[in-house]
Amino acid sequence: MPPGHSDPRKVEKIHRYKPFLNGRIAPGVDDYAADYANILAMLFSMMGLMMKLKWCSWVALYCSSISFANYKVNDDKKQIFSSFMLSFSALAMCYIQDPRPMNLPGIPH
Amino acid sequence: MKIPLVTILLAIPVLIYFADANNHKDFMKDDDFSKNDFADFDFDEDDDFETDIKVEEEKNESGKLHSSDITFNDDDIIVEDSDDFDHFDDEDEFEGYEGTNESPKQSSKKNPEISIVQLPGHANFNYYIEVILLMGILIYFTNFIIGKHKNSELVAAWFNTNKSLINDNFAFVGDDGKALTNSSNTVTKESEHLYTLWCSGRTCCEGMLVELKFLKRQDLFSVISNYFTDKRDQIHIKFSLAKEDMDTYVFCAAPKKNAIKMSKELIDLSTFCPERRAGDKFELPANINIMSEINEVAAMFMDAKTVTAFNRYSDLIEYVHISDRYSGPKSPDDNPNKPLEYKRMFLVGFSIPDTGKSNEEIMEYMHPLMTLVFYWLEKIKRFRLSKEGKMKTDKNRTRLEEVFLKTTHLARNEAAAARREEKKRKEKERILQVKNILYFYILSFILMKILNIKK
Repeated sequence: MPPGHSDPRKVEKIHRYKPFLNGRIAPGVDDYAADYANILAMLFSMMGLMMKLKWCSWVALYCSSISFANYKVNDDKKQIFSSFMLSFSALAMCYIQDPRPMNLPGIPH
Repeated sequence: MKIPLVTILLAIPVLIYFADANNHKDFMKDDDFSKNDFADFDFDEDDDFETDIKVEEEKNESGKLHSSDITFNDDDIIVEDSDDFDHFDDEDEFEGYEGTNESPKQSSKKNPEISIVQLPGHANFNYYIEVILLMGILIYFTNFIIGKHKNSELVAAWFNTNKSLINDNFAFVGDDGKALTNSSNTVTKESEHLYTLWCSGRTCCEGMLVELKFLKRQDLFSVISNYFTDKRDQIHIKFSLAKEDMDTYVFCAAPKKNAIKMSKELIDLSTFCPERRAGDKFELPANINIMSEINEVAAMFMDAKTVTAFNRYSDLIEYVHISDRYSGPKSPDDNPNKPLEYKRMFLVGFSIPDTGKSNEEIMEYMHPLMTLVFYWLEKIKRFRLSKEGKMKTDKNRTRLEEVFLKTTHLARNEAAAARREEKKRKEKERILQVKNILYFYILSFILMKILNIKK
């Protein structure tokens, strides 16, 4: 504290943190990267599982990774876990049923 | 530092791919040898038959092409061999020949037997795409750990540099959700690239929220996209002010690019300060724009100390925004018939320079800006509008409320008219239903009468 300055600290003026304007401008409220990546991971996993498309399963795994990297601390971790499990199971199912290497979509064998 | 690392990591799968391709080439070379062996077989016949065989070869050029294909299939080789020997077995082919009676089949027996190499079963199973994809995942998670570490280092550097300043200004630093008696004195992690710090217990404000918004270094795709955009780490400081802490006005100073964006997005700026002015009047850098509801606010705010800071840190100051009607950016979900919630706020945004200096040096360089923020806060608390200024700002707010009431009144009238119309329509439908029932009874009554008369 510089000399001559009164102490600005006031214990009686302490307020708990509440998101301003009911969370309208809360930190990171406009960051949807994790949510979008999670939805994409689910979609591609389902496509990989149902249509036996290996590239879909791989894309799902990448989307799950993006979702994991961008997750917020307050987010539900079960969602990230389930998207990883789903993409892994899609990959496993694709390679168990057809162990041949993957062909990229649009590129002939 | 980052570029070579990423390049090396990206080069690994490519090298693996080329190594795999070379193996494949070697294999193909072996295959050529086997073809030559096969060709040797054709030309190691008796000299006497050499010319005849050559003639046959010329005739069956396509047959020779077949022989190159058959190296991959055992069954085909046998078929082709049996075809060749059929020619030699055919006695008509050697009419008038007075040579030795030894048949070509017998002569061929003298030659060493062809050994057909069995191809490995996995020759076609090249998982190079899978290897590349797995390497990509590995690189992604390596980058995640490095990026996460870098961001946490930046937070630590910022907090260590400004810790004493914050502790000198606030009685409560860091809200961890526990008892108010003990402040956590730590930054809260919202995500790997976003950290917050809530400080309270000070005059001039209810509290201060510091948002440390870093680049998404933990996400490789964002790292790649950041190379093509001019994004920087940012610090957003938001003061929540009480009614007695500031007068009623809206003011903003920001670089032109941000000012245009803010005047479009923020409700208070677009409503109260639609006009943007260059900062030349206050000897500010040319790129700084000022949006002020009342001129006297700009004159108060832009004192010598502030102007010097703006000139020195013009590339670091993102915006300075003071508003008694702050309600955030416009949202499509907003109901136009419902009044928006607003708050008195003082917001400041800085960007962290991306120089080659260490984190501590960068934060030390930015430390005067943090001190300046508290200077501005004290200034806002002290400043009161003149009588004319106060009248003007009050008039602006009254006018806005009137416009809102007018539009909501119109909307309410429209809604009431729609309700009345709906009520009338339902009444008509009910009357029609009653009418239909009556007609049915009357008709049935008439029919009964007619039937009774006929009887």
